[in-house]
Amino acid sequence: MFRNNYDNDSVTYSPTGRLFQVEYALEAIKQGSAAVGLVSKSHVVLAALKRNAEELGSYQKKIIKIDDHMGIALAGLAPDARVLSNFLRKQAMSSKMIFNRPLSTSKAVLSIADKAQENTQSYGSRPYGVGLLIAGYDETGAHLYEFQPSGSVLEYYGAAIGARSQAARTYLERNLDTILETDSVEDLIVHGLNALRDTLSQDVELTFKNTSVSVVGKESGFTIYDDEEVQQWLDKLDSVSNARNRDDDDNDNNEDSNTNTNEETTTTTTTNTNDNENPASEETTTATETAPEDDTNTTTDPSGDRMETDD
Amino acid sequence: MNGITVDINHLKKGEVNLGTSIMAINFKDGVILGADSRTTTGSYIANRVTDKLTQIHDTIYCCRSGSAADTQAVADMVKYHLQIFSAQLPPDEKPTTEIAANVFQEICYNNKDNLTAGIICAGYDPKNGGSVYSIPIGGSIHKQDYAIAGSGSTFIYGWCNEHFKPSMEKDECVDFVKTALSEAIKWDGSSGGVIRMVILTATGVERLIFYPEDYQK
Amino acid sequence: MTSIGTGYDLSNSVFSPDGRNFQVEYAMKAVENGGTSIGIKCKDGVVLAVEKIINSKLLVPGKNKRIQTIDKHIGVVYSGLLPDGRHFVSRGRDEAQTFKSFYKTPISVPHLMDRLGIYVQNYTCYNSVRPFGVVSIVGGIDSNGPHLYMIEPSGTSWGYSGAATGKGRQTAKSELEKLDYETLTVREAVKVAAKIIHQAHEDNKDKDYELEISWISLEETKGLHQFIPDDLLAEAIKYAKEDEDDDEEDEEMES
Repeated sequence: MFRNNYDNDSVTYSPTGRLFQVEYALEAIKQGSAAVGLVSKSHVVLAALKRNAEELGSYQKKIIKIDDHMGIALAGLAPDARVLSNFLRKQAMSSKMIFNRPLSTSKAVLSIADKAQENTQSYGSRPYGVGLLIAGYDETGAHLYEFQPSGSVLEYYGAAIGARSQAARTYLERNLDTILETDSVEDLIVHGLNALRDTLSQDVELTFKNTSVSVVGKESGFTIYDDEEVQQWLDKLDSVSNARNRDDDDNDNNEDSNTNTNEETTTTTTTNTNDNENPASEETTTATETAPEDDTNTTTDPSGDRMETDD
Repeated sequence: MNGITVDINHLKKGEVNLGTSIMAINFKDGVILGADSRTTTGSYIANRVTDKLTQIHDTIYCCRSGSAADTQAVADMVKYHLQIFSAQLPPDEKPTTEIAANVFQEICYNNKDNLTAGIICAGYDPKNGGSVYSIPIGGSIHKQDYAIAGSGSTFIYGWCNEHFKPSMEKDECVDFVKTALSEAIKWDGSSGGVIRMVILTATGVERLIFYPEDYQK
Repeated sequence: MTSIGTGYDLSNSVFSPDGRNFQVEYAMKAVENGGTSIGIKCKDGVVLAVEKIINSKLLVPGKNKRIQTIDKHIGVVYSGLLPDGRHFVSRGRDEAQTFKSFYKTPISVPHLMDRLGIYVQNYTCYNSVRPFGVVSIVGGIDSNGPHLYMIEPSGTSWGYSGAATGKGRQTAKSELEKLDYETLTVREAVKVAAKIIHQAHEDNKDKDYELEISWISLEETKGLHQFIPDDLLAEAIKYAKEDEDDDEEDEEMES
């Protein structure tokens, strides 16, 4: 693994103006299993793939309720997500108490974004290692935001984070028009699960044990469907396994893949000419690429995910 | 003290008081401030030629009433803030009277429980011309055409109201202030001494002084 | 680059033997690839515009605003690390409100820039922090009329008639130099800004972009910083794309 001098902390810029510690934090998101979010005019759906550490172990919670009108899905370091979700819950509570009004989704997202930004500009703390999808319904309608450890937040019609999330994004992009037009919550959930299904590795299926779904919208408060409750939605899918050959698919769809990290900045640095400052990426990715697919841990999508980091 | 009614007589035993007649008034070319010159400690006149008109900035002054110590301290603080403030302005610019008055208000309000200070802040600046702000005990702020304050002012409310005209000529305005203050001094036991005036206009600062034989009729 | 390998560029607040702070220079690098931001100071106000690069078609159009308001009368746009930009704006808002609560009068634009300059400069002084990865263009109207400033990671800020930063800044600057700031009105400048951003986008043509424009003017917005109305934005975009082939003609129209 390559090391360079500019990746020890988040207060050192590389000669090209990059912050490697922050970029590495974004990598941590990809270590987590996938989470997908999508909006229609009236609803937001989150769908996430849960993991268990061992056969008999319980599954890690992926969707957290913040308030009656808001919830998050996470990928990456779950403890970091808990810190952020606790913070969001406090914000939501004080908004209700002080203003007698539910916290708006955009304010909620910006509050954790500013919190995350502080960790990228001062020594002694690390950036958060978790990506979040924030779903909320407020007086301005249904909203879906993606939060990143860099402190960037962007509003999306559809978003996916975590391992092999590029496949889900591809699905969402292809079906964007139908998703936006749909009036049916059921259809929205099915689209969400379809997208999530595309992130599966070949030996895994969506089951009521490893799948979480949540809905929030006009009439319905934030509702999470877990375990037996999620079966009703899985029953509506034509298949619960990833039919397509993932590797081919990913290589096809790299071009339009970018979930941007900090900024639209360093697009050009994907091909790194400077050996001295080239971080681990090249080496690590090739390593995992050749390694056998292991869905419990090192689920890396080499090509697709490389694009993400460098943007 | 309950915060609504304010005890203006809570000076410590022996504290120096500006039992006072002060006023400031807008006129055609700017603003005139006027004050008596008596400072008392109980029945003793601690200073009979006090200058209660204190410079805050080039053409911003204040009239002080209440505790001498408190008002001097507050005036010093405002002066300090205005120096800092004007240092950050472009070289050809000066702070406005409004800024000075607002700083007075901020300090008087935030420390209302510890202060006995009734202040009139008046000044000339090119943007607004002359302006007069009254900041009475409690820390409220009132923009006025003219303001009177201090123990002696109670006796001249009616006279001032009757004889005030906007945009007076300078001489007329000086007479107005002189007459008003001489009446206040006549009827108020804690006001007396000379009448001091400061005239602030585009041309700068002019000071006047009237001795008892000049203003007593 | 002479900076690499010497060790003087590994920590903020360290001078190299020839007196440079490399970390500040690297921060500028973070800006130089960002979407182009410009500001135009006219006789009656200020116009801000930004080329918002769209990295995914899943992004909601018209949202994710890049131009922000510091106080009612002051707007800001920046290129570089966007979260740093929000930090900058948040500090600007604090400064403006602190000022207003003490002096009971809106902060003047030059004074705000003074205060923000001090704040940004502070982030070049310690090895426990890094410099801001943004160049911000701040525009506003106060009792002395319109102002436009640009502030860099080093904390230096200069007043401008036309300012540009980000990837397409060279193109934008050369266009800005052709304007007559004495006679230009904000209404005209909105179109000019749209055109300049469009031209600057040539440097980043492989990606789509969304145009965001705001203005501050006594006549048009009563001295408030606002996004331009949708119809005016549509008109400006149309004007910008009108005759992409013959640039010569447009420039005559602009001046």
